[in-house]
Amino acid sequence: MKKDNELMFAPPIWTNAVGNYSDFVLSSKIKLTRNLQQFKFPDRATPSEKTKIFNFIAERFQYPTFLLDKLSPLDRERLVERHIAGPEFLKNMEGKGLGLWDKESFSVVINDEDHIKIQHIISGLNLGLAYKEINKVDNFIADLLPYSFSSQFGYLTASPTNIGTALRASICLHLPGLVHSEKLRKVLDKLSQLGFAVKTGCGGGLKTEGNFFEISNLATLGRKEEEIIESLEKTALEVIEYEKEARGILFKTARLQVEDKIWRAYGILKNANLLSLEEFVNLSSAVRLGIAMKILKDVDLKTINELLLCVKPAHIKTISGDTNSSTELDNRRAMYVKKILNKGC
Amino acid sequence: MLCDLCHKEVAVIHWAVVINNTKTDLHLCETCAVKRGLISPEGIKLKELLPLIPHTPEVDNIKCTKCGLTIDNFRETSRLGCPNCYIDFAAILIPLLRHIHGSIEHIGKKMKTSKTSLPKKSNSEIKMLHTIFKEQLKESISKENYEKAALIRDEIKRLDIE
Repeated sequence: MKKDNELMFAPPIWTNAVGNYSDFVLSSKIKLTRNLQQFKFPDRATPSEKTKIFNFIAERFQYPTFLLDKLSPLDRERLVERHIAGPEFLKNMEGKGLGLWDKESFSVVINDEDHIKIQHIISGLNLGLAYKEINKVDNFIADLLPYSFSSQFGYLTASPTNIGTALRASICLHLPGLVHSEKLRKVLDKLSQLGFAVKTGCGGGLKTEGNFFEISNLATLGRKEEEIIESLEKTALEVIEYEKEARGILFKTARLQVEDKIWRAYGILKNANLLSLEEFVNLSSAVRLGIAMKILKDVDLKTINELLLCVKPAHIKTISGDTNSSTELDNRRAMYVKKILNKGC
Repeated sequence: MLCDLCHKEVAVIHWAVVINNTKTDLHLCETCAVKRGLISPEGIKLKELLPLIPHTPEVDNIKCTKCGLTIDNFRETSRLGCPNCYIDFAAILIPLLRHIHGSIEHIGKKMKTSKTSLPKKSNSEIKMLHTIFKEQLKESISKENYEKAALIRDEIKRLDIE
């Protein structure tokens, strides 16, 4: 278990900000949902049936897997904070499990809504590569486990919203320029019309948006995997162009004010003694913009991406001990951020 | 045609459910469709589509022959119980899938069948595919896509052999 915890402690590789358009895109993510032929879906299965399903998968799986209830409550919360599972996964834990590999760029969640959810996250914008890599893993698993598949409906899933390719692709975009422009509504409306879902924020237990927007495909049936990915990536590139334009206008019309906001945000993060998560997320958005616009040069995107994960409650508690006091937590968060940012890059 | 719910606006969303060869239609205007979650800026929400499944004795008696899931269970959780539910619930799922995905046909990756071969189709699965193919055939002919219609006819013949 020590090994799994260690894996979950180092920042996942997708935070390294080396991918395409990293100054606009935090990550590209693909999830594939798969179920086994001979078992009920987890919602309908009894706890003992779920344990049987977990064992069936774990025995055949080539990647290390472990049961969710073997993790401490804090580590379980960190799974959500690290985008590996949703908060629902932590309820009714019997028979639930997971596996993580390749520095958390791959994960598999067992017995959540479906038997298997394989996830691949990579840095920046590159859904094509993410699909190529996850498809290899999927083919490999398909040789080990009998997937439930119908020639009419494709991969069968517990919810009819995921059927067919059972592929959900998403891109997490940072759009501070558009947020400050009148075009945002127009861009969001266009995305909805094109059949994409848009969520503010980028998940991982964050309630504050920080000017992040996650766009993903809605339909999973009636289109090929490559079509879903290409159309989403093409749309993301269009949004990036709008964002570039909006950033350009912002700096042309209010350069002094924007730069002031960025430097102030950076100053607070480097010096504050109390930082709520909400404040960190909002200030780090300004710092992120400052790095992208080459105003801030002694901090990089990788550091900000890593902080975005490491300042969440369960992470801070893991780093500096559990506490029930929110002031204490805000203090520990501020001290951690101060320490990292004052180290320099 | 006026909306079935408000009886005031023109219906733009058409919803059809076929149960035991009896077709039930629902026609909604844009406002009512938005209210019901059929058109939504955040996308389609399945839970909001579920109330649209008609309450008829045929629908209310649907139950999965493998896992025992009832239509009320599905209405409550919006989740199916096992792969076989897709066969036994096909009549209500087909219109749902059309609304969610705009399609009822998988054209993506095919599963390799070497080591994990697919089980032989059951009678109820064959019956379900018949319903789907006949609907697709009708649609292709009405759109004058005779090439596709011929392919669907071949599929129906293949099913009859199975």
